[in-house]
Amino acid sequence: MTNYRALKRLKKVSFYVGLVFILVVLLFPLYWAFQSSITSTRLILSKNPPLFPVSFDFSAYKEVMTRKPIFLWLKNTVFVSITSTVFGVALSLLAGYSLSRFKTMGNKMMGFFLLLSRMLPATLLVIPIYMMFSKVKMINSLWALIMMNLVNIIPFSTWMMKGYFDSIPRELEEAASIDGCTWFGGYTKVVIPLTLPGIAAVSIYSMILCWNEFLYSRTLAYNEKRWVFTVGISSFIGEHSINWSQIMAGGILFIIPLMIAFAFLEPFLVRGLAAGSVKG
Amino acid sequence: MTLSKANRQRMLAYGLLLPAFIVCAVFIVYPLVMTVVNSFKPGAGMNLAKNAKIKFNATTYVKTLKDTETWKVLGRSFVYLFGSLIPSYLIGLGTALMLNKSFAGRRTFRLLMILPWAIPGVVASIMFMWMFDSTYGVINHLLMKIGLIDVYKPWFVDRQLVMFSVILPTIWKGYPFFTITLLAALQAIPIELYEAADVDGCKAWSKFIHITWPEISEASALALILNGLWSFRVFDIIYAITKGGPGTASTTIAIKIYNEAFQYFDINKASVLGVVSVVVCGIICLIFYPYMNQEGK
Repeated sequence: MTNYRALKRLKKVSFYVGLVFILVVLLFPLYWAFQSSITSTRLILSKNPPLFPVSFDFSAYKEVMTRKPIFLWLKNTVFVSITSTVFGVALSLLAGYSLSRFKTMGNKMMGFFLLLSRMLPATLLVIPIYMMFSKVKMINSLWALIMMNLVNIIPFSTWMMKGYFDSIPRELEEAASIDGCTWFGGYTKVVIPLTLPGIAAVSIYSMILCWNEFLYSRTLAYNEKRWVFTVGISSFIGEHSINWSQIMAGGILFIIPLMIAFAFLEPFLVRGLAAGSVKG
Repeated sequence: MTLSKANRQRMLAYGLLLPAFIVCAVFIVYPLVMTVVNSFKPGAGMNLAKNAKIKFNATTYVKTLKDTETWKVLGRSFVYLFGSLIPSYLIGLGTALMLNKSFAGRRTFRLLMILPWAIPGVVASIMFMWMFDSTYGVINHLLMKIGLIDVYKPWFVDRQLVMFSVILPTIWKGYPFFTITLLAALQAIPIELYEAADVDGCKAWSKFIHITWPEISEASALALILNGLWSFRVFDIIYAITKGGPGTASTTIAIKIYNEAFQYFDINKASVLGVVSVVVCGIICLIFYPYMNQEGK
């Protein structure tokens, strides 16, 4: 019997070893970015770069902050992401409810259209959109970026919200209306509070999408003061000599808030993405 | 004014949809129509008023479809699509199968394994560019150490290697989507099926073939299509580091559309290519859609 137990134990240990090994391989790019950001340029640019931290040298972080307006880019990113998320979630709270509760022809068509719009290549849409915004003189405006982020958010957030509304029984609203609530009263006092977890998930998801957006931001704002972080960091590439420690430090600073948000979103993600209606 | 209950309901249904509809109409439908219109106007540029004066004709379609460069770009798009899709799927399936077991610390492992999903494409590709740097890249260093290469390879500079090099970050960013969708499908499989198989003395492999695979094949097909359509229009990962180069060695159709418009200002040709790419996406959907439904039965 001890043999059996030992075998089981060995199996368990080798499972963990395999798991950790895979994780090390998969997360190596992140590790290497971090390792490069805390190693001095002299050490990192050698034929034998240290694979493990030799010193915790945060000077690259300081340098990148003084050399590049990364706080301005971060501020722009935060402003664009939060504003787009607020508007996007508000619109999808209305539209998602409509898709969930009413089955008119128009509702069905709208739902189908929203799904289809996720398939369109954004590089195609960005051309006429650039022309539209330059016509109304909104190039280099953060509001143009906010609108395009809205367009990115609405299709999936509406479908996600529809899923949450579907799970709330209609009887609750009917009960509220018998108690004398108007439609709006029932919606705000009964339905919305029940979908709060859904709203949280959709908001975080939207924030991550906005945080990562590159195509519209790069095209619709060429003034450095209106750059968001993704555009800013890509401008490092193509400089005469790329300072890798600094660029990695900038990248790490940028993705830390993202990872925190992701940790909150992750439990919802399995459910939300499995619905098949969203794709980052 | 009094409205019947049915009419009031309908007004509410449409009223709630209206704001979202306006945004989509202005920023999706109208640009789409404009793209189709511009694709039939040879010589169309950035100026809307000038474009309006050009007469409609389809010469650019003929020219573009006859151009071998167009087919090369499309071919490259498919190399990119399948080159990233299949490895992402396999990694996703493998990690999902591991995470489907119950073990201590599973939640943490799950979180870490799908972390790349949240990383911006731009940041991911820059990280890979640094790892694969031709003089100081750690990958060159490691490969040399274990003896797989004897000279440092210029991963992102060499025309032959660049497609491989942009596919890697795409796989890295793409696999967590499969992990998540397949894990959800795996967790929906009733445990009784496995217990029954255990009673019958089935091996792990035959359990996978006879129980797991039929149960996850539908979710797999759907995820493959969604991810395939995503790779077909990836922009940030490629553009941030190569802009489609060196030469045109990493120019997929998504990059080509962008460069035609914003580098050469040939809106007409860009629009034609845009329409072509939408048609290709549509064909992909049509080919795989029936297959997907059949799998469900």
